[in-house]
Amino acid sequence: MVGNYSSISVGKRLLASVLAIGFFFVLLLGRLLFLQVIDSSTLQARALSQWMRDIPIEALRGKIYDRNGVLLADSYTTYDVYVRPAAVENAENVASVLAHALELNYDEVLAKFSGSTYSEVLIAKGIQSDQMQSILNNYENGILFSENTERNYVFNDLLTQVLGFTNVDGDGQTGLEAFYNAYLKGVEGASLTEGDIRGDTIKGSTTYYLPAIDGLDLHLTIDAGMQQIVESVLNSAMALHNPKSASCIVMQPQTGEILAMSTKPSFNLNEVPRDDVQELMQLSQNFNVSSAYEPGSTFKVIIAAIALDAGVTSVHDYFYCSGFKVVQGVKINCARRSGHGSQSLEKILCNSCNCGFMELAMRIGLDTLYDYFKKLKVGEILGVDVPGESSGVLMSKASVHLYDLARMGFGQAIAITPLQLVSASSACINGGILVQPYLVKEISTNHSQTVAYIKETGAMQRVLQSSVSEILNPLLEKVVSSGGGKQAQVVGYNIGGKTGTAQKYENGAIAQGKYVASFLGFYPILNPEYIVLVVVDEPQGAYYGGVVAAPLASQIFSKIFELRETEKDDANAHRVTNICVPDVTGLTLTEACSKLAELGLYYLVDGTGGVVVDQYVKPNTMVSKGDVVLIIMSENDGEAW
Amino acid sequence: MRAKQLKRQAITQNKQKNRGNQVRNTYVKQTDWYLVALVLVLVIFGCVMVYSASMYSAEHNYGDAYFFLKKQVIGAVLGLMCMCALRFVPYTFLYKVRYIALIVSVLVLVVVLIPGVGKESYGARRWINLGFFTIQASEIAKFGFIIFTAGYLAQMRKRVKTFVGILPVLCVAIVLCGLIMLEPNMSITMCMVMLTFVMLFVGGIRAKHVALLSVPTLLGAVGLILAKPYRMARLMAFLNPWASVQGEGFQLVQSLYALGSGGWFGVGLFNSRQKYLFLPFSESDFIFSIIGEELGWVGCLCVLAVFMLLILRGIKIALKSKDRFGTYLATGITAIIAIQVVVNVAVVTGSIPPTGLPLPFISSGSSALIVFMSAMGVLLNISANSQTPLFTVVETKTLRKRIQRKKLVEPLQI
Repeated sequence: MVGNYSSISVGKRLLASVLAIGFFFVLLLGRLLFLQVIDSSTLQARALSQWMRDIPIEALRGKIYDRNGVLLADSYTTYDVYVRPAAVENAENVASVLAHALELNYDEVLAKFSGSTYSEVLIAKGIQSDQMQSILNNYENGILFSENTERNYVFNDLLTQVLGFTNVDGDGQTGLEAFYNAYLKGVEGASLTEGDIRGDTIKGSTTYYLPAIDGLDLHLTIDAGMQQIVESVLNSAMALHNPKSASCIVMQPQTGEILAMSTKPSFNLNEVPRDDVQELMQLSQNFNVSSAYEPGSTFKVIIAAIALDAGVTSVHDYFYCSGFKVVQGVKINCARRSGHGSQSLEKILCNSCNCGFMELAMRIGLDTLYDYFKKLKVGEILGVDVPGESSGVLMSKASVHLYDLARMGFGQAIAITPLQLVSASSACINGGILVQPYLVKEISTNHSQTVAYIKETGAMQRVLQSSVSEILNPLLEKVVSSGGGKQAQVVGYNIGGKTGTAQKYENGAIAQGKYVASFLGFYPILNPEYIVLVVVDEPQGAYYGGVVAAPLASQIFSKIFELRETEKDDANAHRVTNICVPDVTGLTLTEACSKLAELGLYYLVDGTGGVVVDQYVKPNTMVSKGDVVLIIMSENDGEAW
Repeated sequence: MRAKQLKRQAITQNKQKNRGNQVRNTYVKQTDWYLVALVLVLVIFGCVMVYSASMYSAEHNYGDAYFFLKKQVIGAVLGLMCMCALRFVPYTFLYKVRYIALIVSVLVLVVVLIPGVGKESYGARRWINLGFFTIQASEIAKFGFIIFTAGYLAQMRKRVKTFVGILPVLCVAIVLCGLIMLEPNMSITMCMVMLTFVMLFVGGIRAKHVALLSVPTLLGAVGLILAKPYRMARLMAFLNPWASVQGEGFQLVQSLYALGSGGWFGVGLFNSRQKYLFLPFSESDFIFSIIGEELGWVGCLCVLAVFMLLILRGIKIALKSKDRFGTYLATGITAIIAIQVVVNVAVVTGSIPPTGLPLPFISSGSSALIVFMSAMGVLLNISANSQTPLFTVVETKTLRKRIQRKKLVEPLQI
C-alpha cells in the first residue's frame, strides 16, 4: 500500500502528535500543581532560611547568685566588628573610624577589607560596649557588628567544680552551668533581613527582630562566705599536706541545702586552662559527688546509728577488743595492736575501735545492713543537681564474705561518695530523716524577679528512729571532746564528729603509704545546723584523720561561727595555750606517755614497737591543757583507724 | 467504446466539478492574525518576564537593570521584522533552497567549533560571535534540518515507507547531532532527536521503524550520559537534588524553591525572591521558575495554554497546507516549539535531568527569539497559502475589491 498515501493519514498522525503534546502538558501541569500548591509550604520553609539574612541576637546567660544574693557569675556583652566590603561607601572613613575607636593601625584596617573578595571581613573580636559606642557615634556604611556574651565569674577561683564553665558557644560544659544549661542559656533572638545570595540587603526590605529571651538566674543554697572559708582552709591544707586533693562539704543536715562544697586543686573559671583537655576534665571533677572512696572510720557513725536503730546495741553495751578479730579465718587488726580491752559503745567510738564495729556489723547482719544502706542511699545515686554523680561501689550481696561484712563495720570494703557519707550521716544525727542534698534553691527571671522554680524540700523520708540521734549525737560529741577527734575542737563550742583514716586499695591490694584522711563533724549537738566533711586524699607526711582533717574542720567551724556570729555554748571557755609540747621522739612508749601526762596532755598511740618515731603536735608548739598528742611508734601495722 | 466514452465524460465532469470547487475555495492571502496575536502575547510577556527576572542580576553584574530587557526588546523588534518579511516570502522558496539550508547548517556547526570564531562560555562552544551580535549555531541548524527534512519527506513521500527511504534523513540527523555534541550541547541534541522522530512519524514512516530506531537512540543517550562524569552527576542530582543542595543540585533546588513560593496565584509580578541571585539563569533557561513564583500555578497554566493554542494553530496550519512540504514544514516548526516548551518546563520542575534549553519566545536570548519569530513568519506564509481558509472570511468591500483584483491563490504542485 506504498502508493496509497492520503492526507487522512497525515491528519491522524498530526492528531496523535497533538494528543501526545497535550498529554505532556497535562503531566507538567500536574507536576506544577504538586510543587506550587501541594508541596508549597515545605519548599517555602526551606527557601525562607536562604532569603533571610539571619544575624543572631544572643540571649544574656542567666546569673548565678548564692543564698544571700551575692553574685557568683554573670554575663556581659562584647561585640565582634566586621566590614562588608560591598557595602562600604567611603573606605577611608570606615578605616579611620575603626582605627580610632579600636586603637588599631589605620593602614592595616584599610588593607584588611579593601579589595577583599569575602562578603564580610572580621576586624576585631571581643570589643567592649564603650568602644562599640564610639564606632556607632561615627557610623559609616559597611560596618557591621555581632554581639557575643562573655561569662564572668566574680570570684575567679571559687566554687570552681560546682559552678563549672561554658564553651565558646555559651553552653555549659561542667557543673551547674551544664546541669542547668537549659535554664541559664535563654533563647537566642535574631534580626532577619531579606538579602540576596551574598547576604546583601535588598532595598526596601523589612527587617524583622526576634528579641532574645535572657536566661534564668540561679539562686544557690551555697553561702559564698562559707565557701570562701572552706576554700581558704583547703588551700592552706593543700600547701601544708601536699595531698592529691582536698575536699569539703558543708551542708544543713535538716534540709539538705549544701552551704559549701569545694574540691582542691581547682582553677580560675575566668581563665579556663583549655590547653590540656584531659587535665582540665580531671580538675573539673567534683570529688564530693563524682569520686567513690573508702570512707574508713567516719563510716562508723552510720554503722553505730544502724546498730542502734536495729536494736542490736545500746549505750550500755560493752565490747571486748583484743587487738584483732578473726573472721572466717581472716585476721583483721584493730588500730591498736595491743587491744582496747573492754569498752562501752561510747569508748569504741572515741577509740575508733575496729573490733567493736566488726562486732556491730556482724550483729546487724548482711541483709539488714544492706536494707539500711538502701534506705540511707548509701551506694546509690542521690540525685543532687550537678552532673557526673557517682553511685559509689557496693559489693553485690552475694559476693560479700563475712570478713567483708566485718570490714564494712569500719568503713572499708565499701566505696561511697563524700556526699553520700554526708547525706546518710545527716539522717543519723538529724533525728532520722533522710534529706535530699541540693544546690539550687530557686530559679527566677532576670529582671522581674518572677520565680520560675523553687526546690521542694518536702517529702523527706524518715529512715531511722528519732531516738537514734538522741543517743548517738552526745557520743559523737565525746569523740571530739575527749576522743580521736580532739583536734576538731573549737573552744567554747560543743562539736560532734568522727575521724577517719582509710587505706587506699589499688588493684585489689592495700596501697602502701596511701591514705585518705577525713573528718565528719556537726554542730550543734542538738538539732545540728551544719554537717561538715573534710576529706584529704593522699596527704604527704601525717595521714591521720585526727591529725590532718580534724584541725581543718576545727578551722572551718570556728570561722563559720565567726561568720554567723554563733554564740558560744560555754561562754567562759577560752583557749589558753600555755603548755609547750615536749619532744618525745626516741623515747619508749611509757616514757613518752608519762611525760605528756605530767603536762596534762592526752595522748593517742599509733602502731607498736619500742620507740616513738614521730609525734603530732610537733615539739615546741604552744597548746592548751587537755589537748591530744599523737605518738607514732616505730612499727606500723597499717590497719585503718 | 461506450465505456471509454463514459469514462472520459466522467473525468471531464469531474474536472469541471473540481474547477467549480476550486473557485469556491479560492480566497485571499489572508494574514493569520490569530497566530500573530499569540506570538505577540508570548513575546511581550517574555520581555516583561525577562525584565522582572533579570533586573537585580543585571544591576548587579552590568550596572544596568534594563540590560537584558534592552537586548530582548531589540531581539523582539528584529524578530518582528523577520517575521513580517518571511510572511511574504513564499515558503516554496525554502523547498528550493533546502539543500543550501542543510549545507549552511553544517557549515555553521563546523565554524562554531573553530576556536576564536566560536565563543566559549560555561565550558561549551555554542555561540558564533558576529561582533555586534552572538548567535547560537544550533538555533540555525535546527531550522535548517526542518527545512531539509520537510523537503525530503514531501519529495520522497512514498519511499519513507521503507527503511532505506528514511536513511538520508537519519544520516543528516546523525551528522548534525554529532556536530552539536562536539560543542557540546546535550539538550539541543535531545531536541533534534525528538524532532526527527516527530517529523518522520508525521511523514508517515512505519511503526516498526519507529520502534527499530528507538533502541539505538536510547542506547546512544545512555552512552552519552556515561561518557561524561558531569552528566552522570547531573542525573544523580536530578534523582535527589536535596543530597547536593550546594553542589550539582543547587540550580534545581533553587528552581523548586521558586515554584514552591508561587502557590495558586504567585507572589505578584516583579516580586520574585529567587531572582536575587539565588536562581542561576533565572532570565533564560529557568525563566519559567520565576513565572511560577510570581504568577503562581494559574500563571503557569495561562502560559502553557497560550503555547498549546499556538501549537494547535501550527498543527491546523500543517493540516490545511495546500501541499505536503507546507504540512511537514509547519509540523517541524510547531514540533520544535512544543518540544522545547515541554523539555524546558520538565527541567525547571525537576521532572527530567537538568539541561539548558530556553523557553521559546520568553527566555532571554535575542538570537533564539529572532529565529523563532522568523519561523513564525514562515508559518504565517504557509497559513496564508492554505487550501481552505483557516477562518471565515467576512466579505467586506475591500475584500471583494481584492478578489476582483484577482489576487487569487493557485495551488502549487510539487
